[in-house]
Amino acid sequence: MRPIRAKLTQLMIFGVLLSMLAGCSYLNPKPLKPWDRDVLARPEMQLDADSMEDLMDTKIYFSKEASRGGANIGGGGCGCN
Amino acid sequence: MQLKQTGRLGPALAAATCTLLSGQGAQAAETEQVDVTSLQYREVDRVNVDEEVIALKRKGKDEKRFSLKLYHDTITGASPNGAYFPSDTYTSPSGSSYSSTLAPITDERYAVSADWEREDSRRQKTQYGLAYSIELDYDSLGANWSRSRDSQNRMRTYSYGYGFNYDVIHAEGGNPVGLAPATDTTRSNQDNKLLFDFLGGVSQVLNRQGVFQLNYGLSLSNGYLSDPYKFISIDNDAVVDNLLYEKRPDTRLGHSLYARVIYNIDDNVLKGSYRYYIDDWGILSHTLDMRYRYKLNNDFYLQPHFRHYSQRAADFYSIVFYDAPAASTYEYASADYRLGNLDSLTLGLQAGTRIGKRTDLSLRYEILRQTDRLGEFPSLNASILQLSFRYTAK
Repeated sequence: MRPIRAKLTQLMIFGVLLSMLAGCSYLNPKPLKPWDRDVLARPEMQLDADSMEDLMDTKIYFSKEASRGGANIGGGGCGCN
Repeated sequence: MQLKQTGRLGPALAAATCTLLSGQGAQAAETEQVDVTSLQYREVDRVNVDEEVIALKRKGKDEKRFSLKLYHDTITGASPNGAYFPSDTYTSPSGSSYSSTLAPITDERYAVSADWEREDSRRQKTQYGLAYSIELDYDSLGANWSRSRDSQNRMRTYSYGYGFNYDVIHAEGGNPVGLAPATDTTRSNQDNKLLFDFLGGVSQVLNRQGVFQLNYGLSLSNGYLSDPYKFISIDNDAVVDNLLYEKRPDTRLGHSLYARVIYNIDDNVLKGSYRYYIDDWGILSHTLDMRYRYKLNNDFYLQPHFRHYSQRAADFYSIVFYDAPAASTYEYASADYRLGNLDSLTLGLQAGTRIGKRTDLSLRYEILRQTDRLGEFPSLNASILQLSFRYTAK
């Protein structure tokens, strides 16, 4: 059972990585001029806009669930899991 | 909300704040920012956590950034220790009938982390980070490095990074031996855990209104990965007659795929993410997270939050183990419900406001409910209350 699952996992990861690459090649929109980046430059549009909430959520869910990672790396360890 | 228990951190925080805000650094500062947040996490009849964080950020005119975070948290209450006994106080939909044993838990944690970021060229940035934390029974030392590079037309950013942690586990009274009987007194004073992380990703500007991000993450852990306070119950003909310490494998390899979109819709912002996680313990999970920042006016917003998490159990997880042919035949075993068939649902609302030109305040309240899909352990209900303050000096 285990080897099959491991194989399936590898296949799935390979498939998603491939579609990521394909997606990135497809996603090639027209370049924006600097003066068209006003909305993207707003604080609430940044990837770290909810940094203090994300910081707390990462720890809460790391200590209450068995998954980790995804958005970023770094930060201190915790004996809560 | 409370910020009372800064304790020994108080003088250190004051000194750090003064140093950062005094403008005596090597570079003339362009922006400085102070974030203070206080969290109250409350589980019904179980664990309570209070946490305070102060984050100081400074960005120089040369685009060099430095940030320092100081953490303090306290944990009190009781947590299921994995021991289950047949009982008529709780009957699951599957017909199993167990009540979990709650063990008292108290701990206090101090942590500090520092990050530096420099601009290597107009399109490339490199970041370094260090982190250290201490608890009564756990210490952790971490370092990380990451780099991001913009494409020529700045529509796409590639990033990759590594993280490394060296953790020391020294449970109260020593770390037990995995699968030893609860009565066994053999202990080791301390055990280690090594953790390596890799994260690689790309973020893509979709159009004037939105950004899309995709990350792949790999994490490899090695060492003492068991929980020294957890037991498993051995059921012999419907009678739990033996408790053993749990034992998890000493390596773990996990993969994550993470996709996120941030999109502006009529000055409101939709933030959605999905994470797929799988590891060689048999855990497989899906996480969906949605936030919608609704702008009421220039100074006030509301942000509802929805999060759903669904997890398949680890291969060696069971709520109760059966003594057939003998308990000693188990290679690994854990009854920690966090490794079980778990669903989590979070619903929340955040309100934020700007006071003057430099100060932001936000408050969020959320409820979290964790349930066992097989209905073997009782649901967990918790609330999250977080108050955040930000001061930005330019």
